[in-house]
Amino acid sequence: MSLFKYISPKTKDEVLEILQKEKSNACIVAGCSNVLPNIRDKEIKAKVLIDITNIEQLKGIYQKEDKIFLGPLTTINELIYSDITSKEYKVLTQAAQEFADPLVRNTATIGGNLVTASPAADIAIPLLTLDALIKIESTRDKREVKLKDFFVGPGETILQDDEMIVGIEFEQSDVNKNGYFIKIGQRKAMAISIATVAVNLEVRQNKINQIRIAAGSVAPTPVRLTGAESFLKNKEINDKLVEEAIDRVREEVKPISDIRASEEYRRYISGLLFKRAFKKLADSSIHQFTN
Amino acid sequence: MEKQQYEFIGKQFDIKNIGKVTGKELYSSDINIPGQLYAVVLCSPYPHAEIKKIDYTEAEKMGAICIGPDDVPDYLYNERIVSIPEKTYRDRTVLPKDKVRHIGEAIAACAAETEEEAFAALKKIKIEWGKKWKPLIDLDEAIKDDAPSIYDCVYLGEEKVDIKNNIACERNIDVGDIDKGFKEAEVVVERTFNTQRIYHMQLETKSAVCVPEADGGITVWTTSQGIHNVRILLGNIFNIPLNKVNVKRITLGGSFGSSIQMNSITPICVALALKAKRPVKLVSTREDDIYDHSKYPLKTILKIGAKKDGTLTAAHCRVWVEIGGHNIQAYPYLGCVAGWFASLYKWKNIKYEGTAVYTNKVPTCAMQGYGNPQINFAVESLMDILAEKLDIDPIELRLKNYVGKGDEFWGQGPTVRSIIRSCGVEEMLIEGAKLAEWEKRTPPSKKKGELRRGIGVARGFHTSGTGGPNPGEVIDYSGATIKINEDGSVDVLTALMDHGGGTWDAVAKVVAEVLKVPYEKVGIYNEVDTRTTVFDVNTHATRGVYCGCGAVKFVAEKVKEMLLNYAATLFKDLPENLKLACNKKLGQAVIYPREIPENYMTLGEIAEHAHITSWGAIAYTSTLRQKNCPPCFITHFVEVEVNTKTGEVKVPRAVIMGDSGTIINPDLWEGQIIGAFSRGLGFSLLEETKYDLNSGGLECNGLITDYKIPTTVEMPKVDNIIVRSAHTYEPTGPFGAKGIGEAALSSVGSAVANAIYNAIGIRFYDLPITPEKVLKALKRKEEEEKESRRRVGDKVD
Ligand SMILES: Cc1cc2nc3c(=O)[nH]c(=O)nc-3n(C[C@H](O)[C@H](O)[C@H](O)COP(=O)(O)OP(=O)(O)OC[C@H]3O[C@@H](n4cnc5c(N)ncnc54)[C@H](O)[C@@H]3O)c2cc1C
Repeated sequence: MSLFKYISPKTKDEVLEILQKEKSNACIVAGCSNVLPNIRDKEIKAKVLIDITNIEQLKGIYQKEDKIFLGPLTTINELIYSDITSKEYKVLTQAAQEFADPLVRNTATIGGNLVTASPAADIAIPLLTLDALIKIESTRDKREVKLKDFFVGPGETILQDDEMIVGIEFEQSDVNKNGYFIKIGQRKAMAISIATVAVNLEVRQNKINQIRIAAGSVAPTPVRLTGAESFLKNKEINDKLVEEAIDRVREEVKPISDIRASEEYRRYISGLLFKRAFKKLADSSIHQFTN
Repeated sequence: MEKQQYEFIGKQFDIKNIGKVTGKELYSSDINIPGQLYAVVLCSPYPHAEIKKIDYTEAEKMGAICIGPDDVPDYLYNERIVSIPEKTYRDRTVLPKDKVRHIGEAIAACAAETEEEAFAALKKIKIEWGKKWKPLIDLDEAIKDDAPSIYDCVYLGEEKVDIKNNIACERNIDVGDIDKGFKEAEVVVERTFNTQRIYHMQLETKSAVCVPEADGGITVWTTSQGIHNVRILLGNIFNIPLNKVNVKRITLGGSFGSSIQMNSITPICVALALKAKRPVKLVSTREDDIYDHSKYPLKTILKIGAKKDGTLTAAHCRVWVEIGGHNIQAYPYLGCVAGWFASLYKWKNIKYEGTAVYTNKVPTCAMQGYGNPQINFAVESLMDILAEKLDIDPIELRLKNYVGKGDEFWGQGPTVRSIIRSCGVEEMLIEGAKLAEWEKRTPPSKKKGELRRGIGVARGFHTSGTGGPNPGEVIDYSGATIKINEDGSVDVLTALMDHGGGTWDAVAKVVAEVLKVPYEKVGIYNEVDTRTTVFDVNTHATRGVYCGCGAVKFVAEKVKEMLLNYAATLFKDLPENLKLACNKKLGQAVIYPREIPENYMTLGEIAEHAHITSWGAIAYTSTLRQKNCPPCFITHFVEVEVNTKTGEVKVPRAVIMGDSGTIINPDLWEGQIIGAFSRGLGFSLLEETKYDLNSGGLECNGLITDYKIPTTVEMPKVDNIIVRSAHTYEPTGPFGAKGIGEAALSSVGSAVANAIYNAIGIRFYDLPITPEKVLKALKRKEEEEKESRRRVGDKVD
């Protein structure tokens, strides 16, 4: 193991100062559930670890005007127990419930989950269908980026060396309140996803007014399936439409084969998970929809 | 049946290993000796490569102590010495002398003041590699004429054996007349089955600490299921008199059979300590561990013949096993597979052919069942197939043909056999069927919808120990020292290991029952070693209770005899006129003249008297060899729910019937059965250590992140697992007891596969039955059905 300098600042500005000074020589530490294994695997080159867990500004789930704000230090467990998410934005709670086990959920944060940028990052998927906005700061700049534009490749994001995530926001809209997440793993707990799908849907007079679909572990990054979304938009819901949409989903994902599952299985399963999530949401929105 | 009322047997008490739940228990990796060095091992990155030269001068310049092939003795050994020497294949040295035979094989090691320094030194070791071969991963590749030889020759006992086509050993057994048997058959079924390699995944990785002593001896703490075998091996390898090798008994953090043999790191640690002349500690990482041992896979081609009424007439069983880079115990393994096969049903005429083949993979060894779950999967699947073909209920077919009371059981291959004297098979099948609501079972054709449920049955067993009227090829005896202290408390000193199954609790209960001493007053302490205990072969082969406690009971009875003799002097009476009883109020064993309980003396008083009058200690040491190997039977009724859309298989319900004779630890007995069920689900549905065909490495890279075993959430809900015991008594066992551990796993895979067949009408021949396999098979079936419908349609046209 290497030797590190370990700093635990009390404010966001201090963190930004250190980042500005140390750049790639520094690494932010939140729940440590990715950082620690990475240190062990010698994947972390940085020599300065900045522990941000004492910074109150980066915590909490609350309403802010017409938006919901999530601090990047929000733990996965908080998504399960917060009234806001568990009552209104269930898609987040569902994803959180499938995440690792209670021990990891108590430390792992959503900021860490996004920055890790694993194709299998479970919380990224519902945040994609909530069309979340990522608030990024550095000493030189403040910017906001749509989550769908945040990921660049496996383990890569648009974050610069001196930047950090200071918040995550999404709208308090109808479509965001009607979401569903499903995960398939090799077992029911403590498993890296084979495939995940989240759908957020708003139906008006049996027509799809808004739909967002996201999938995990089926592409180099967590992805929105915009092709399938635009295919479905404004269409009247019926069985044929769903079957066609499943095909679109299966065409749009770009999975690989690995030790957990084959490409073929992942492609097939993402269509199936989409169907299940969609039907779940559509069934509760309208009634004439049949099997 | 001589069922009796017991005071301690079958009752619940605090566990003896209380340190385990308070966190105070010491495991080998907790041992720290002042002045110790920390060792790390250099593992081979190649699956099959010639080692030309190892140069560790740079590492030694950093202050590390290093060993390479030239620093270890030339002594060839087999790390498992449970079989007799003439039947033990020897193919290895502490570090390989000429070439490596699997990725992860240790080639050199360093010890330094800190682990960091040891790792830094390790990096400086230079290895010059010679020829490198493409790894032999598949059995079929390994036996080809042009396949590279993994070994040219090995030793069987003292005899040199040439290795051809990488065949490590073979075993063929014939019983009766197979041709005649098949001629008599009216129905013949034949299928090929495969079970996979899986990893033991015991909680504790292997560790060793070695102290070189001033007299030239060594003291060793190491993960082991049998400390005396480690002592003998270390003495032989390093040429140290066996009284100067002291191996400490220390609690195991799980093992599942992976420490029956001396672990490969143990002699490495010793070699380092001897060279450094300082204590050395070596703790394996999880990656080292997963590259160190694996369960045996098995390929079985099984053919069975029967009459129309279901009477079996013959069976031909052809098995293959690829064993990896070392032959730890393939010869007895092939024998045991034959035994499990031969003892399941009355085949009448048997032909068995077994072949073990070297490959460039992790060496395989016993893992909960020693071939039993593997062959059981083939036999119990094929029995179901036969039942369907004959249109006989699977339970009826089993009842008609099972090997039971009065029949011969092969407890450890063909040379260790004994007559079955207790058998709960019939009771378990019939009562289990009631509990599982077997009569409500419908055929696969009746099931509709996305989620389909099915029920499957399978039965199995394991031996209780490896004793028999004739000793055969396996060494089996246990021993103990029992002494009564001056206050009436008792100490038991035994080398018998407890894997976590409660063997030590059973020991304490057996002693309490014989000597009528309250359970709390029987101590079975950890601070014993090979010097303070007599030989115990190993806690393997489900022998802990039957053989281990059998020996303990034998010694306790000798102590009782002594005690009654002493008491007789005090009472001025004959020993046979005295009675030993437990007085719960006093918290003491008491002795009184029969029929006059009020004239009692406590055990403490008698012991104290013996002490102050210098009569001597009331203590006894001896060993005992059990002369039977009774099967403990198990029957699994499993309900599965197959998701026909995702291929996932869930297990909502299970009824598990066990036959262990008298049950000494009821709670732990149930725990064994439920724990084995969980591991069995992993074996059936999830686990496999897959290899990359080109690199020869594990696909999971040695990381358990990508080697999943089931967790509690994969289990049926607690209320939906029914565990029941048969009402049996084993006349040759301590207080009527047999074993359970390995039996509990033997038929899980078969029952799950049979249940899946009942749910979706598809038979799986290869484990694990993963969602992808299920889905593919469902698709194939759908296409075949479409095709046949089309053909029928064609005909109508
Ligand atoms: C046993 C185990 C099980 C797991 N199971 C799952 C699972 O089921 N699903 C899943 O998706 N993941 C899983 N993970 C991965 C991991 O837990 C998650 O990715 C987690 O969300 C990471 O959060 P963290 O707070 O621990 O991140 P850390 O490890 O602290 O940090 C991760 C990365 O994010 C950066 N970072 C953190 N916060 C910020 C910020 N505010 N601004 C900029 N950069 C930041 C760090 O510098 C680091 O590069 C598992 C991990 C383990 C060890």
